[in-house]
Amino acid sequence: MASARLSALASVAIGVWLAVALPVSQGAGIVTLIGLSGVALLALGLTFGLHGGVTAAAVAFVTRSAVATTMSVEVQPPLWAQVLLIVLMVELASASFALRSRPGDPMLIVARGLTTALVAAVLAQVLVLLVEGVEARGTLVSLAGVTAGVLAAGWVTRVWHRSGLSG
Amino acid sequence: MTGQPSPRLRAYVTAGVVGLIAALAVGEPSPALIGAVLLTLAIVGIVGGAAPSSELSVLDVPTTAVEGRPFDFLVWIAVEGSIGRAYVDLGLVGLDLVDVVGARKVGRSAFSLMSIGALAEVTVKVEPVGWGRASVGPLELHAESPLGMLDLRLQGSTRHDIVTLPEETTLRKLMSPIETNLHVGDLISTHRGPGSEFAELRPFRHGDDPRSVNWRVSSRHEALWVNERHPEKNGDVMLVVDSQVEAGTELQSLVDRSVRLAASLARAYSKRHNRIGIVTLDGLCRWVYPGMGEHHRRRVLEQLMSVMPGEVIWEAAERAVVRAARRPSMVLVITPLMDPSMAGLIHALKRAGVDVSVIALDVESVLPLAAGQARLLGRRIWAMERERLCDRLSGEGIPIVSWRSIDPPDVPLAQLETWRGRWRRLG
Repeated sequence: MASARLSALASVAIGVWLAVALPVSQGAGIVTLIGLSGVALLALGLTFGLHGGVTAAAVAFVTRSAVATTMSVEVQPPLWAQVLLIVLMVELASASFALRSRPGDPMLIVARGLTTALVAAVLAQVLVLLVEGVEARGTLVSLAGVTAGVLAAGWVTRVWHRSGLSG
Repeated sequence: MTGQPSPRLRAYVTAGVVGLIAALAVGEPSPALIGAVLLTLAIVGIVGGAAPSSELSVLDVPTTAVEGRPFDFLVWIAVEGSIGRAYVDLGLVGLDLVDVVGARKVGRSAFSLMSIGALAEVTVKVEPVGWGRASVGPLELHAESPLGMLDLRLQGSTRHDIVTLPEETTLRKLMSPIETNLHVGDLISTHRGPGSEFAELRPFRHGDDPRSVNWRVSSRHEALWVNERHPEKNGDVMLVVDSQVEAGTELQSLVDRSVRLAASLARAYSKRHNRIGIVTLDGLCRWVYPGMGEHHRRRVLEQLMSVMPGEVIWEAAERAVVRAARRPSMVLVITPLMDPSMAGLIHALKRAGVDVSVIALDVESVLPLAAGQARLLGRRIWAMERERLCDRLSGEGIPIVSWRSIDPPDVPLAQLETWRGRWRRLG
């Protein structure tokens, strides 16, 4: 139980750090607000055992990142670090839920979370480099986004049905 | 084995989709990149996390155990294919996990396996804690798919119940029932009949067995004399265990003592080929009629092990005890004598002609020191009332002794036997 609490605390700490990474003085109050809302939902979810809190926090941070890109401020932290922190936050929060409901090795769970976060960060940086290389903007990005979205949704649906989780 | 989506899978899929939509909304690639990474993790996790067909079972779990004596059982896991690190929750109740061979012990009731190939066998050593009912299972196996996107779970179907007996106390002295029944046993009956114990000589009567003629005595007289003998029979012993004490107080230890003594008595009397019965008075009044054999002894012990402190309904209890403890039973009542109704019940047994003896547990020694004059006075009045009850029973010719917590169980039994011996000589 102590490991579960520690894991939850670490997850919330990462969320707070990510939320306040962009100073409000730079005119990014709304960004900070979205981030902190995500942290609050995460904390609520972890306190009352609601899995939806983790999902809400992840969604809030992705939204925060999207809103921050529209502002004329330097995005902090960089994209790969954002991915790393979001994944780490989700991993630690999930580990907390897992350790509460069943036995587990906390060190192993944390190690796996860290590895996943690092892999995700590397993947994000690779994608950033690819996109920068293309130097695409506007319609092209929108088209690529729509295509990627449709393909991804189709793939997820297919895999979901094949895995037997859809019932 | 079933797979359930973990919280991280839901978070990655939802946030990934939101990222893609947000990228479209703001016309910037960054959210789409974050979303793509999260969705990639989710998809890789789902693809590699199919739940394999598997089976989980427990073998060699005993039905009876003795408090403080460890025993082993086997956990058998069969998987079609393989799974990664798995945790097996043994669902131990009333048992402490001592050691695990073939896996790593995790916490007080679980073990983990690095990976499971086709088959895994784990030997588990557990130690019963306290007497009563214990159980193993139903077992639960938890595993995670790669990246932890799915929680794989397998539940065993059976729970194995174990009756944990108190640590065995050897009783040197046992009271013998005055009246015996018709079954062959170790007790010398007061009646005459075929047996080995010489009773007396009497003149030969028509129909006597010629083998019982005492030729030496007959040669000195002008008539035939025969030996009369006592047959060896067994007796019915009925144990009445009164556990009417307040739960969660120091008095609860009295129930523990009563049960330990009753279990030792049941074992000792069974060894002497007596028929054993039991009446337990807690929230319910339950009884087992006297009987013999291993199966019967287990029934008696199972009932004894399920005794819990509780409020007795005395009207029902009196009827039940008098009915269950019929002659020629010897009834041994183990009671803290907290309620005058218990004295009434013992009196009713005596009135019914039943050979009844009472072991009254010493209550004073388990109570904390009374603080304040009022409490001290209350304690003294209460002690006097209990003393009056003992005197009343004793005055009716019922053997009653007080069993102090520092004395071994042999002491009250020896005192009772002395009392009964004296009474037999007088009467």
